[in-house]
Amino acid sequence: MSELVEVNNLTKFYDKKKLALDHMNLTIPRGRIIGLLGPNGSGKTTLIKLINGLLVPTEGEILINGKRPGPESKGCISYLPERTYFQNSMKVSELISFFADFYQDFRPERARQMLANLRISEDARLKTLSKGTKEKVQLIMVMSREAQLYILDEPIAGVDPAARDYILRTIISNYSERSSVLISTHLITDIEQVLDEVVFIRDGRVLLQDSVEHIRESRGKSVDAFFREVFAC
Amino acid sequence: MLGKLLKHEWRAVWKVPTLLLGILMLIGLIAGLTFSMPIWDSDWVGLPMSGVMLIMTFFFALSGMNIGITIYLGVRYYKSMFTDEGYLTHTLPVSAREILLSKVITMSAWNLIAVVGIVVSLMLFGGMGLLSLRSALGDFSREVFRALAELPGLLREPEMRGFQSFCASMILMMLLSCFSGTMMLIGAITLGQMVRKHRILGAIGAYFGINAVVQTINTVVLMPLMFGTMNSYRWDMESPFPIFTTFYTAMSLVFVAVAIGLYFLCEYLIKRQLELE
Repeated sequence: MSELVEVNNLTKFYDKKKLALDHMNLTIPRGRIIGLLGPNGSGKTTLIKLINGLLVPTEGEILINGKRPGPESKGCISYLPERTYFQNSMKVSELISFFADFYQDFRPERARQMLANLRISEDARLKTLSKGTKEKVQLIMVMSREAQLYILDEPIAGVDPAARDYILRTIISNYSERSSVLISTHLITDIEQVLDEVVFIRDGRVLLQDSVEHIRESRGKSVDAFFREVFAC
Repeated sequence: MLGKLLKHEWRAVWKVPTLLLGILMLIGLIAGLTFSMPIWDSDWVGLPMSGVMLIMTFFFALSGMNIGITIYLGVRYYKSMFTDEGYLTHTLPVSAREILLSKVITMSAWNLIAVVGIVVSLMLFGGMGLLSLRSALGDFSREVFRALAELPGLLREPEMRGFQSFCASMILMMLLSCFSGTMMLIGAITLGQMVRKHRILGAIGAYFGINAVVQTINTVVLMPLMFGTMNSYRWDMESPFPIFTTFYTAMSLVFVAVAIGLYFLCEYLIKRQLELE
């Protein structure tokens, strides 16, 4: 079986002069939880947007299950952006029916269970919810899909520590042989426990792709400590 | 998937235009009813001015509703396609064509509903206003029925030749303008996104640019047509309607051609040049 995602020689310029990704090569295998780590402006979000088809590459290609980003790949990727992206006037229950209409792999009963666990009412309108609760709703929608690839851009940055634990447990419980999770975050300590692999990015290039276990064994330190060492200012 | 997109687009859009149309109907009804009140029989010196003000209020409401719906649809398109909400729109497992079609169909439908709303509110306003002529209403109805009875004969007169085609071309132009107006709005906003740092200004500039292009094409197409027709036209003998029909049809074709061109340009830009911030 081919890799889930293949990034070949990917380059992205903004406004023809600002280089965001520089001939990047990367593969995302199946059945792994991968941390996408790098300092601000290293190209993490640009890479994520390109995989999701929200940007067009300047050069190179991205293949998801062997195909370029399009309706088919969007059907098997569940993406959580770093911003609140639902229409504010919608009710939570309307979001559930929206997702159920468009995504075949969406499981409404799972979403309802998670909403109940976090005590979020289905009748609530998004505009009445706090920023943190909105982020929880977004994460619930995204994680209630049985997708092949979950891409989470800063999933725990805006929520309280208790919810953070719940989110991490949710991510682990979604782990399966056929699906992978790609998490971009600065809060390495919090997520290190759930990661199988990490990808370090600097200046639009992949600096390192290795398993967490191997980093700990070969470097004798945690991923967080190693990250601080590599990206020391 | 297009059906689902249309369903959710309709659900997201319907409230504001319906509210605006409702307000317009209410203003039409109240303004019309005001004319049927006995106050107009008094000798007060400010009455004519009040009448003018009332009519102006109604016509301001008409244009306000029209502009309001256009602005609302434009803002809704911009937000759902190119701001944070675009992250949801463009990660749905649907093609760029389906997304664009759902927007075009919904917005064109609302433009059409707005036109119908204007006609209905005019009828409400006029109908209520006619109540003020209660005493003369009987004579008025008789006149209308008499004119309607004479219409078939009148249409056979040489001066009225082509009147039906003229009416059909007017209605066609009105219907097509719902689509072409939508495409000009969508085209301007989508083209504006190419000006990455000033997207809204870009959209406004693109709107004026598209209008200038349409006017130029119209002039280029209509001028020769106009001079050709005028030269061969016998003003004292023939009906003027075929000339107007030709002009309106030509204008409609220009608008539709530009709208179709804009549609394919937008589809290309959304598919190949999308850059969400």
